[in-house]
Amino acid sequence: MPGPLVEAGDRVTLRTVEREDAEFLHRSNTDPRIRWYLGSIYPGSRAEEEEGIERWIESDSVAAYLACIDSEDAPAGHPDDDDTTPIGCLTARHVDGDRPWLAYWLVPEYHGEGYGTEMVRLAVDTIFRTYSVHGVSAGAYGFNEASRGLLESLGFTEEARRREARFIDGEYCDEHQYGVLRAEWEAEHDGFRSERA
Amino acid sequence: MPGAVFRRGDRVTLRTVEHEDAEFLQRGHNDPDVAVPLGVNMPENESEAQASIEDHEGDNLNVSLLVCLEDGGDPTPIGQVYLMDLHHTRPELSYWLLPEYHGNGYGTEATEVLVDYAFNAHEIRGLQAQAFAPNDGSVGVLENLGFEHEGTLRDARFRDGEYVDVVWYGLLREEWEDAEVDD
Repeated sequence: MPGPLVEAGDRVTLRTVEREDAEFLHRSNTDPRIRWYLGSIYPGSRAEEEEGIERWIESDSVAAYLACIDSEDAPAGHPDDDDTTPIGCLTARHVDGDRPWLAYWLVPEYHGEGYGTEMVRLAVDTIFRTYSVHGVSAGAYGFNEASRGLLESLGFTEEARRREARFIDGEYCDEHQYGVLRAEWEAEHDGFRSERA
Repeated sequence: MPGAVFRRGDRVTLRTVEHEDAEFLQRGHNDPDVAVPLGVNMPENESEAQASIEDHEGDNLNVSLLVCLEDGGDPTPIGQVYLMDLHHTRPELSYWLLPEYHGNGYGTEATEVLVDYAFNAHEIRGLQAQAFAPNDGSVGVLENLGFEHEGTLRDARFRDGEYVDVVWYGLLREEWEDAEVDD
């Protein structure tokens, strides 16, 4: 079950990743509709997933958020089972460096309805407000048109194409790297900071 | 004193790193003319240099070798080459030479020997390398060896007082083979 609310959008909330979310996260490296696109191609056990939460989701250089759909009266604090439904996850590595690297996924049942765009927009807002980083990077394989379109629609620029840099689903694939600088994000997403009472 | 010869070029050899090379590596890793273009931004003392050599022993995913000049006597170490993440589809390479040896083509020669070793000894699809955009020497070495410029990450690293672009280069196996035939 996801933890307390970190940020709320129109339809999506970002909540903390808790150790008991290992079961939900496990899907990201097992479900073929997720793992090839994410590049997390080696299905592990649930125990490995739990270890992964402790080893890197909880490390100081990583920011991780669960994208959730909350019920109308979901609490900002720890929700119960029927208060919220996790639909995806976004992580940013190297938030303590110059340029964090985003990775994100959404369960297939929620594809195609704009939830992914809202999740990434909310998370990038949150990262730029929380960490004094100069820009943010993200990658997508050449075949992942949905993710590439999402990044472009949010104002990311394609900066590099590493040819055949990864072996995925039986063939070598190009890795496209995207970046957005803080100044570009602020110009494109006017008033992204939250109202502070 | 560098160890055994691992691979040979015309003028330089690549030799194994031995414990007593800590002093040489420490000099390179701290010299601002080497460290700043390489992206190393913390000082390294001799015991850290020693520990990093020891940490590397038994590491099968990364290769580190000394670039040496041979004139019949003891080899003279002039720099270092690395191959990182040999389990990746395209491992990354990196290299530095002491400033007084720049401009003689030693960097290109040492890197070419490393690239040949990487493709001949390992079942890799390609190689990749990155450099800060202002680092003309490093980019020149990559272009001499047929690496393709695959992109520029804008303002990607803070270095020497400002944000600088990082350029990415890649070389696929068939491009390396074609270049071998041309030679």
